[in-house]
Amino acid sequence: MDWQAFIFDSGSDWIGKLDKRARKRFGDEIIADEAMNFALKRLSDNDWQRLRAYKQRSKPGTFLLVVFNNQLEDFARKKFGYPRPPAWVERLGEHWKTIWRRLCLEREEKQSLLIVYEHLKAQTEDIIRTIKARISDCGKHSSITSVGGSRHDSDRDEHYSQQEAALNDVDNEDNAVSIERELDIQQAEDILAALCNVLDFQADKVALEMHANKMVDAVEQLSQSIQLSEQQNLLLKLVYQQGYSISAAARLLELPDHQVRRSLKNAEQNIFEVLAELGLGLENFVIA
Amino acid sequence: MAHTEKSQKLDVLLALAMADDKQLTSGECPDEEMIACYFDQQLSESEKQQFFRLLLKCPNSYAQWTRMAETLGYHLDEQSAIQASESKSWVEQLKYWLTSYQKLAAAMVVVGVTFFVVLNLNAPQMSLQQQMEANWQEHQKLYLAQMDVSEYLARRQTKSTLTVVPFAEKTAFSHGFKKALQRLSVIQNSQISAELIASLPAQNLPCDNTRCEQETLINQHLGSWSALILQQCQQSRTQTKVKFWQNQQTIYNKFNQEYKTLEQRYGASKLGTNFLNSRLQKMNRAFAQLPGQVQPVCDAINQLALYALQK
Repeated sequence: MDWQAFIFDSGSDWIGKLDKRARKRFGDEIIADEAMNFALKRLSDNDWQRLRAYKQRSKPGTFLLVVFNNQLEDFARKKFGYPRPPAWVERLGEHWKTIWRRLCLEREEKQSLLIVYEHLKAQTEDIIRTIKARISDCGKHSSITSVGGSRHDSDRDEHYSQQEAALNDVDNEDNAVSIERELDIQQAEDILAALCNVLDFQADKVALEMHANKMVDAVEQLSQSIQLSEQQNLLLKLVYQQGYSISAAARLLELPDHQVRRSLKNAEQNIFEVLAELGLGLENFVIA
Repeated sequence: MAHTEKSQKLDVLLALAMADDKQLTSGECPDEEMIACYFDQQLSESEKQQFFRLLLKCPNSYAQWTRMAETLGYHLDEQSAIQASESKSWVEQLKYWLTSYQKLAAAMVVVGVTFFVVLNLNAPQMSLQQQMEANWQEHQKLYLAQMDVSEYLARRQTKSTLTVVPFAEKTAFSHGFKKALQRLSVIQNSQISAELIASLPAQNLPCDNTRCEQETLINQHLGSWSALILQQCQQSRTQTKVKFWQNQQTIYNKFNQEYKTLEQRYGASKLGTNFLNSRLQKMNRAFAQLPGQVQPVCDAINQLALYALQK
């Protein structure tokens, strides 16, 4: 496969398409240019080594896009550092992680993000508001460390870090378990608070704490009781976490709309019933 | 959002966030080609189910998959997805447009308007334009096949630093100049040096906004027009009719008008006509001396041509 000829073929204008993709990924034009240069350089290195993994099962253009997208993400990590998002952000799904990264690490403006995620404007706006409210130094350069796997340095995450350090140090197994549990509760509390913030529910701290405790106790039971197929799981993630419409999710999963609708309804029903059964519904901690 | 709807959403999001997240090591996860295969519908039903299973246990692959879905416009509604698609062919996009009479009518209006604009700008050489378009792809392919990646990267480096403005402007102008030379070389049985033609840019730099696209197009047309006038100047200018130069003046005024309209609409030029400006002012003065003196116009066009050929 002659990748150079393929990429520079004017008829299919791959250079234009890749450039457009880089611009969409990075709000700032100069950074997008830099990313495009980085990605092209990476792809062409060692006689297009990265693309030589191609086994000709997919179309070359699709494969090129996947690899190119990954190079753009590598560029972002090199440019803005490697910190992982706080655990609660990570648990809230891919869209949250992306917004956190672009907002807090890449310091992209809110308006620019709202343009990129125009199809999810309201949801994105809520996520931005919540992240900014809960991570006080989001976007402040000094707070970001590029040590692999380190967390964002807000007060709350500082708390996590201390606990994690203690967790690594302790010899006593019981002690370790109790600290781990404390971390899980804190994480559950953060998730609950973030979701309340996004969906505009009021909940007091004590109620949240109690509920977080209850959730951590019930996690195993929850996982066992909620019976979802892989397809249903992906569907829920796409629709609820990524904000896909039912027809968009159906297209992506190559399923008919009506089947997706039915499958989603069954999955939701299963979740509502299990949460109610375990006493984990929102009426247990939401004020109004 | 209604209260019930919100509370149901909270329940589902909560359940998803608290779900067990045992992760696989990266070696067991779908690789880049597997993800590409999914979008190309190259996976069998059982492979697809296995792919879904792995996605749920491989956050990196899931992130790559959703990024790719976004790149291909799956997250949008159907109409926007097709329009935004970066990999669907124009045939697929056309198929979509042909699905409704209303859209077809709208498309015809767009095509009609575009044709009218092109016709107006290239009025004197329309048939040549058509001839050239037929050969265009082949020429471009040859040029790009010879181009080295490092050269392309070097150009982009330049573009992303100080010379971004004149670079885009000059590329469009020189590209237009090239198209006209190619056109002329067909008529003159390739008397124009192929080397010269190959040395000019084969395409415009990509734009990401309407203003840039419009300005690029005008610069490209100005380049084509300059090459044609230069050709006329190099032939016997005494035999050229006054009417011809008057027509050229009309076309030239149209260029000026187009630049002005852009400035009125978007403010001062971003792509920048700075490099062209001084030459265009000279051209204005030369045209003012028509129909009496053709020489100043030819001198001015010579300057413009040099602009296209300068490295």
